[in-house]
Order: sequence, then C-alpha cells, then structure tokens
Amino acid sequence: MEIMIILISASLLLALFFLYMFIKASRKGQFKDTYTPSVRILFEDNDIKN
Amino acid sequence: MEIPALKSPELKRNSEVLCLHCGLPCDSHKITENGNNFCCSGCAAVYQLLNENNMCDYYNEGKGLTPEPTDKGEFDYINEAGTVDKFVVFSQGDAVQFKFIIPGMHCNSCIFLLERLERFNSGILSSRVDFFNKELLVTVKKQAVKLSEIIALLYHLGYKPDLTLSNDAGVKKNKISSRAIKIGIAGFCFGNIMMLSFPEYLGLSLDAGSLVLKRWFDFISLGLSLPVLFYCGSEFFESSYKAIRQRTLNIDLPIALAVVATFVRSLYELFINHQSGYFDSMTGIVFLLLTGRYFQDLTYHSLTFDRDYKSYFPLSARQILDGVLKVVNIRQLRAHDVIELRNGELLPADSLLISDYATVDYSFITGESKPVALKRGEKIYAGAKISGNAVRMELIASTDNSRLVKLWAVEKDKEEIDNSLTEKINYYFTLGLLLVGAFAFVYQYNVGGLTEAFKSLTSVLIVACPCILLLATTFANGHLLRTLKSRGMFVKNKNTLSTLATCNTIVFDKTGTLTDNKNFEIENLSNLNSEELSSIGLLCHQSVHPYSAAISKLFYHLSDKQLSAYTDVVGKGLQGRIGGKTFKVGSAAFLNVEQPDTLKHGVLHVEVEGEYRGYFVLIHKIRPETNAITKALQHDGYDLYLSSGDNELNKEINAAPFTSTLIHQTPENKVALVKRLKSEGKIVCMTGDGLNDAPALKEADVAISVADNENAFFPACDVLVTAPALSGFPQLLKFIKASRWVIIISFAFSLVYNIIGLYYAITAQLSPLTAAILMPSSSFTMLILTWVLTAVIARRQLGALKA
Repeated sequence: MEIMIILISASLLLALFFLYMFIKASRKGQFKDTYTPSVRILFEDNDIKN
Repeated sequence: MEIPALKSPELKRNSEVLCLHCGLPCDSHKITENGNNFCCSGCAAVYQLLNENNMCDYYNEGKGLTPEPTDKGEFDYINEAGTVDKFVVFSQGDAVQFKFIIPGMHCNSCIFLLERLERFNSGILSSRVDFFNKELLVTVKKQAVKLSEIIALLYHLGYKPDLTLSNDAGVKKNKISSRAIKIGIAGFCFGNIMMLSFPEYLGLSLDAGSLVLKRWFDFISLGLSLPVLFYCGSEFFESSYKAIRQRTLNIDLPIALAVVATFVRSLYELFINHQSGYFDSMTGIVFLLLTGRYFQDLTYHSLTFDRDYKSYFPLSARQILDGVLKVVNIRQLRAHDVIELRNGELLPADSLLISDYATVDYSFITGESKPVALKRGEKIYAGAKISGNAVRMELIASTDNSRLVKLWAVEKDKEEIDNSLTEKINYYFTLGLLLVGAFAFVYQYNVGGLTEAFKSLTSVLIVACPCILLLATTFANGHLLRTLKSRGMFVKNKNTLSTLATCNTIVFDKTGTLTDNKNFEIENLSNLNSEELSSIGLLCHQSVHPYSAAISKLFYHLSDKQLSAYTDVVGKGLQGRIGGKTFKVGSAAFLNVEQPDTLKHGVLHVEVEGEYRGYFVLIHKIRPETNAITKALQHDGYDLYLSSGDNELNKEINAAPFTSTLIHQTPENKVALVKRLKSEGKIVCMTGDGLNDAPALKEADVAISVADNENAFFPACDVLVTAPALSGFPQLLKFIKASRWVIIISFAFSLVYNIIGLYYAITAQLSPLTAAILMPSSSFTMLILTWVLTAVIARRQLGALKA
C-alpha cells in the first residue's frame, strides 16, 4: 500500500504542474482570443519583404 | 518605382458588376481604376491607398467595409491629455500602446488590414487584433504619431473605433479570463478530490493500513479544498456580503452559505468524527457554478446591446469662435454657441438656423429620408442630418439637454424594471430556501438532535442549491439565444424570449421595416424621351439629395454630355444646361406649377427649356420578402397591423394580409394603437426603426428593430433582426414558440430533482455521498438534455434556414 502514497503524490505533482502551465497560459492571454491566430497564420508574409 | 497594379478577376453576381472593394453591386456610378470596378469613389480611394502600399492581397481575402471620408483635424479634440489616457493600455519608454474597440470588425480581411497599420504610418510600430473581443491594440512611437491620426486612419479605412469615451481601456479588467483561471483551479481540485474519495464512493471495507492511507487522502482533500474556498469561491462571498450590506438577499447568498456550511461540516467530520468530509461536494458546487456563469458571460458577451445612439452621434463639431473655426468636443458645447455643419453631418443639439437656408432630413431619427427645407431662424432638432451646403447654427441647448438624449433616458427605465424583476425572483427564491433550511433544521433538531439538524440543514442548502434551477434556464436560454444569433436574430435577454413566445399581435412600421430605405420605386409620369432622361440623370447626379440620387441611379449613364450653369437651390431643386437645353428638376414651388392634390410627397417635377414635361413619383421600395412573411405570419395566427407615417402605401402592402393598415400616423398615434391592442389583452410585438417609433416600441411588449447593417443605428429595442434574416422571421417565431418546451422540460426536470432532493434532505436521509454524486451528474444531464432538445427543435423549425 505504500506504493499508493508514492503514486498519489506523483500524480498530484504532475497534475499541479499542468495546473501551473494552465494558469501561466491563461495569464499570457492564450485563451483570450482563439480565433485571430488561426486566421493570422494563413496570411502570406512575403508581402513584408517587398 | 512603379508598383504593378493588381488586376483582380471581375466580380459578378447575376450579371451585376460588383465593386472590388466592398462587394456591393456597382450601378451606373461605376468607376474603373486599373481595370478594376468600384461602386463609389470611397472604395476606389481605399483601393488606391492599398495599392500604393502594395497591400492588394487584401482583395484575395474577401470584402471589406465602405470607408467614410473624413476631415483632417476632426479628431483633434481627442489629443487632450485626459481623453488620450482612456485609450492607453501601457506607456513604456518610447512606445505607447492604445486599445480601440472596433465594432465593425467582421471578417478575415479586417484582421489582415488592421494588422498592417504600420504600412500606412511609419510611426506605428505594430497592430494586433483580438477578433473575439473586437479589440485592436496599436503600439506607436511616442511623439511620432498622435492618437487622432490613428483614429483618422481607422476611419479612413472604414473601421470606426468606438469613441464613446466610456471605454476605459487601461482600467477595464478582463473578467472572463480571470474566471477561466478560477474554473481551472476549481476543476483541478474537484477532480483530484473525487479521485481521492473513490474508496469512500465504492464503500470498500478497508484494513488498518488502508485506513491510514484513507486518512491521508482526507487531509490532502482538505488542502485541495482551501484554494477553492478562498480563491475560486470568493466572488460568491463578495457578492452576498454586498447584498447583506444593502439589506437585501441575492442568489449568491445561499451558495455562499452552502459552501461555508459544507466546509465547516467537513471540518467537523474530519477532526471530531474522524470521517471523510464532503470536500468533493464543496469544490463541485463551486466548479459547476463558475462554469455555468462562464457560459452565461460568453453568451452575453457576444450580444452587446449596449450600443446606443450616442455611438453614432458626432463627437466633435466645428465651433465658430471670434470668427475662427475650431474643432471642439461636443460635450463642451453650450447654448448660444455657433457651429458649422457640412453635408451629411448630424446636428448634436437643438439649434436655430443662422444661415439663410438649409436642407436637413431626419432619417437618423425617423428613418424617413425625405428632406425638409428650412429658413433662417427656424428651429432644427438634434439628430437632423444636413444635406447640401454647409450651414451655421446657434445652439439653444447644450448637448445633454436635447430631445434625443431625453428619449434615450426614458428608454433606459425599461431595462431597469427587467433587472429589478430578476432581483425580486432571486430575493424570494433565496428567502424561500433559507426558510426551508431553517424548517429542516428545527424539524430535525426536535426529531433527531443537533447532529441530524446540522446534517439536514447543509443537505438542504447543497441539494436545493439554486444552481441546477438557475443552470437549467441559463443554459437553455443561452443556447437558444446563440442559435437565434447564428440566424441573424439578436434577442436581448431571456425575458424577451418568453414574451416573444406568447406574442399574438404584430404591429409593423412601414418605413425601413417593410421598405428598403435606400431604394425607391420610381414612377415616370413625364413625357421625356430617353435622351432627355439621361440628361436629367446627369443633372441629378450632381446632388446628394436622396431623390436626386435615386433618379440618377436609374437614368444616369457615363456619357460625354457636359453640364454647365449648374445651380442647386437648397431644398427646392436643381437647374443646369446640358446639350444646349436648360433642365429644371424640383418641387412644384420651384417650377411654379400646380401640384395635383392627390400627390403630396415624393414628387419631382421636370421642366425642359421652360416647358413643363411632367413628374416622377418616388416611393420607397418594398422589401421583396414582405409578402411571403406577412402571409406566413397570418397563417400562423398572428394579427398583423400596419402603422405608417407615410401618406401613401405601395400596392404590395395593400395586397398583404393586414388586419388593418393605418396611414398618416404620428408617433403618438402609434403609441395609442399599441396601447389599444394591449388593452384588448393582446401581447403586442412592435417592429420599427428610427426614433419616431421609439415611444411605440417602448410601449409594446416586445420591440423589434430591423437593421440593414449591423453597425447601423437602431433605437433601444429588445430584438434586432438583420435585413437578410427577415425572410425567415415567421420560422424564427415558430422556433421560439416551440423552444419554450426546452425551458419547461428543463425547469420541470430541475424542479423534480429539487423536490426529491429536498424531501430526502429534510428527512435527513440524504447521505452527502449521494448528494455529491447526484449534484454534478444532474447538472450534466441537464446540459445534455437542453442541448439535444434545442438541436432537435432547431432542425425541425429552422431546417431550411441557413445558419
């Protein structure tokens, strides 16, 4: 049963890491606008070189 | 270096040539530039601007917006320090970032163009679009570029930023994103606590070693529940604290109580009884409620109904001060100030005319584009649009006191009543719930003692926690609103939905609702030959008057004819020499002829070389779908009324199945009609546009506006239907009626759930374990139920309508 303690703590730590990543991404505005980047990537950028 | 011009394949629809820039059909005004066709000089100008900056890729993306010509210096007032601050997001070293809200942003081309602002002005470092929030962030070099220049550029490109000065860009907090974090944390804690509670859920009999492990799990659960209690749930506590301070009750109070009660009871179980607590229930409540509110926010976010006429009001005016023209913010204008207005500008406040003559139309207020001629000293009301020459006026009131502002202020009351109604329901629901909780507590105290009493109180608060009841209607309504929105019908709130479903009488206004304001039907009652008609077209082409525009649209062709000796007698008519003949077009008074009594408005008389040649009758064109709509509505059992301020009706209207058609109606008549119908016990829905319908719209149970353009002005209304969606109006009404069942079924479901739950809770039979599983599962069932029901009804009723 001791193995459970290790497993649970490992899973919690992993989950905490994901939570941290989520909060960080949210703060950076990753989920604020989910539409524009999908359009932006399709624009040709060769016009910038001209 | 000469930049090679882009030549796009000619755009065509039904053999009509379409404008390359805006995609609208080019009529006789077609302008050809580098082999591309444009409908107006504005579009051609933007094309040139784009072409010069080598940005014609724009045209590969689709269609843009029609630009508005602007004056340099019009936005100078914005450069005042206090005003600039409202747009600044941050200012660091050499760079400043401004935030604009651009309501007109609507497609991928907009993103393309708006993200390349740096090409137009070297002072702009970068621009970034947030399409979802309709925001534009522009970073500029300090000193190199003024705020007014950016705004003028945006105007020039056809993207009017929202300048109402109420959007404090820097201060505005992004509520939705901070809530997303709260939901993330709550969901994380909820999920992990559930996982740790599994031995409990399964009711495993545990040996001594496992019991120690389970004890550990319980303490980890406690730790996980703390951030949920103190961070994620904080808004419930804040809101209920505020409510208590205002000596009222709100829906957040029982939630806060339930959360606290569950937490305290869990602590008691954990430390005194050495049992697992109910941390899963507590975090679950918070998580689900936050999720529900997030969706609610999303729904309301996408339906911005706060656009009032002020957004369309002029922001600056040219004031004449000691003989010098100065651009000032209209808020600085006071009575007796003298201002100058040019063609197409709106009058910001009631004024007296100082110039000799002026022609104005009240299309902004009434939707009627019929111009009115005024002489010196006459009063002009705020909202009048100037056509023709520039005129000077003296204000007789400050902008805040004018009629328009007052009208709007009255409109606002209706909304507040709606709000207070919801507050009342919340109040009684909360009160009822607290009473039931108190009853359960007292009952169980007498029957089973303090422990049982405590248990049943918390169970009542958890189980009857209003979330499911609220979630049911919130989710169902939110989903309905979204479905309607995708079909071009914007409904203000759920109260409107339920009124609309019971409505049985529809009153139509003609102008702008059933008719298309920009299109006239022209009856030619003159004996002009085609050569002369084309000359009339050329003459009318010179004027911006709506009648002239309509005539020129019909008869004007590009030709080598020359116009000379052109005069425009404001408010009366036009005169000019073409091909050696003198042409005169205008009102009866202008030509000194008798007008037949049967004709009152919309008549243009023609004279060639001093000889009277007849007249044109102009009537607003009926929207093509009018007949089908009215027939379908009548078939569905609606009583249809028509109330029009016009003097004549088109023959199509007379053919439509109206119970009664009324003409010569003043705004007061319209109000009286609505009142009368209401007193007969009918639920009245009024459709109209313009502020002359505003009083009647306010009186009606549901106010519907038809908008040709989503960005156009519309008076405060409950429902907005876009012109293209109008043809599906009967189906949309049917859908709304049918969808009441979704609300009823989901409400019944949650009620049954609540009653059963409450029964077990009051009798202290409900184990918190069951509640913990029931709570989320019932909410999810509810979600799926409403979603499936709405989709089924939508497919049935709206199948043919394009989403």
